[in-house]
Amino acid sequence: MRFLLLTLFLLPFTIFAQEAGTWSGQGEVGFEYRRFESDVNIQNADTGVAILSRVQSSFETDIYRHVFRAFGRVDQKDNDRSTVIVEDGYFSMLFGEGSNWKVLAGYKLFNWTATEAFHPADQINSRNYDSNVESLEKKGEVTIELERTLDNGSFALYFFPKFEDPIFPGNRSRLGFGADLERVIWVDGGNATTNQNWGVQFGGRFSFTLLEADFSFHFLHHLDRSFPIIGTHRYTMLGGTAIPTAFPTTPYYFRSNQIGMTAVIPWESFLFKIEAATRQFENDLFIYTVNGLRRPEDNTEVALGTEWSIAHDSGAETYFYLETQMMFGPTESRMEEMSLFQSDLFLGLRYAFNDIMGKEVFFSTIIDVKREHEYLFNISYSQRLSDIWKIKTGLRHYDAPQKEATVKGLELYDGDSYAYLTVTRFF
Amino acid sequence: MGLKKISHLLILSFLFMGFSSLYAETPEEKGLRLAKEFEAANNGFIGESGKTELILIDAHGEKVVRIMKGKSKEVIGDGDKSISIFENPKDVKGTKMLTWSHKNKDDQQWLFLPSVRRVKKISSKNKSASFMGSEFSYEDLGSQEVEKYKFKWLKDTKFTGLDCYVIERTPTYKSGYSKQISYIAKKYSNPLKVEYYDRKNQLLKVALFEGYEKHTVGGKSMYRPKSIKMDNVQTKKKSIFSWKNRKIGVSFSDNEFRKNNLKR
Repeated sequence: MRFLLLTLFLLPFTIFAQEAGTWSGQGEVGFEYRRFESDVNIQNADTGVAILSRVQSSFETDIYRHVFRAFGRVDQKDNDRSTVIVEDGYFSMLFGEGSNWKVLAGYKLFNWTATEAFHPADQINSRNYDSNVESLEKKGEVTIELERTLDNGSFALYFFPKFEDPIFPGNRSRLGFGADLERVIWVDGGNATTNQNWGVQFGGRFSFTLLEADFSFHFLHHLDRSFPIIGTHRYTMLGGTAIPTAFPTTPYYFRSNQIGMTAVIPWESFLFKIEAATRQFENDLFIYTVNGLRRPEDNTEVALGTEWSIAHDSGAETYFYLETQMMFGPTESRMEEMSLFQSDLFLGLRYAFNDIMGKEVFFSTIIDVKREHEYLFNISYSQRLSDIWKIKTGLRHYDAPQKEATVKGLELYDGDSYAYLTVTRFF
Repeated sequence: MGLKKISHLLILSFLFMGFSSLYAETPEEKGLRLAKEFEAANNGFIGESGKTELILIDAHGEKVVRIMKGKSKEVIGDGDKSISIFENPKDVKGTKMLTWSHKNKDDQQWLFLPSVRRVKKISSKNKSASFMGSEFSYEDLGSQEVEKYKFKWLKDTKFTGLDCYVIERTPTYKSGYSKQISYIAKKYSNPLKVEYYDRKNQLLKVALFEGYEKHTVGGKSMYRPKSIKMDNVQTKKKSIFSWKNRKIGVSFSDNEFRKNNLKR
């Protein structure tokens, strides 16, 4: 199957590469150092030292475009963090009158979000959970896309034949679950479980600009990527009690129907943002978890936000961010189990010096407004060292002590604060 | 001269004075008229593409080069649409900025961030921010629609040997400047020099437009500078914006300036 995919992927390239077009390539190689606060577990990797790289190559004519982009990381201290991700690997072609139609096939990384911290509408790609919780790294998804450009927007239909397995941190990772998770199992209706990655997923998206505001609406029939349940479906019921026959360390992903929307509305120096999604799960299988028998529950997430900027006489700019996300549907305790951000507030401040070196300071905090004492603080500084070198350093601090028998929300990361330094060479 | 004749003469004189005051152009009217003439002279370019180089020079003479590709499309009856693609510095390579400028309302702008594959709407209100760390601000490089300024003709003069109108223009939108004074060459219908005054009405920057080249589109001649040199008289920093492979009269499709095309 992989050979067939590769052949299909390269076929248009061999045809269109004969035409006059533009090749371009770029990439980066970086050194990343992470130092976590010490904990009592000597098995844990308190230090991360990694080399990371991203390469991109593209070929483009007036109607044809071919892109390949991959990201790789090798961590000397934590092998489970070492990974290679294909982010984009597709060809696209315009056709029809006025080149208003586009067909695209291959791996593609989507970004449907309108907000900075909470992303209820941005659900297609699988994530790498060993990255920042408010902006998780993504894996490309095998996609066949047909898009029609309209006067003030576009309408696109998508078919996703393959589910990409998410990446979970290993048992030595400070951002992990304290155990190596099993391979992902997809729950695909009728109590069927599979770790085969091929199946039917599809969706559509209509995006348009009305007056000065941008809107988008989407629907997805897919295997949801936001609400995995970690446990096991191998258990027996004994007198009304579930007795597991396997370790409850398998992530289960469930099929859902999702509709959602985004809106960005400018007013004076403000941008007002709305991002929402409501989803219904095909509830067909209970999973044994440390909290009891669970299955995903239908829910609605709404994120509201505003971004406000001020330009200074020096040419610098300050950006202020205020966002909130709320979840509706399940009971309060279930929502706390299901999502890190079931009722949270994000405050951010970015100061861009807008100077030659592109110096920038960013400060943000996420506060759980319903659960007591759950905070994430983040401060970072970045600047160019030259036209090809860039440095970024920062601190992420979690303050969310465990309050009940099992960890919920940001409690998972309490004690896992870390400082980091990344030096990147671009080419 | 009889009393009757004197009264007729007085009436004629009053009529003449009335008509001349009715038709005499005020400096503001003349400024606006000239601005519209210059706009008309520069209209009809259809589309423009090229590569731009931005040289940033600090107070000590150190130089850094920024490179962009760009294209713009003329929109009849409204502001132009343009797209800039950043090539250097390398960390922002592939970043695209799409601008739909408008005559009578705020511009619309989107930024494509290739690292996260995100098309982000950005506020076009803060035009006074520095463009890529240069002495140019976004409003210096954005479209200069007549409707967004009040004009006042100050005088006629010579600058670098060319006959010029000196026109003051005051922005009617939220701007980083209190006013701009332009020396506009009659020959080119374009500025040779612009003085920018900050919000405290102090001279902030001086732009020199150099190397005008003649382009002919559909039988109409128009002039474009090869470079703009911007001196910040307060910080002593300089920036030079120059064009390479500039093509005028290029026809682009509307699709090339659509938001969804940014992430094609």
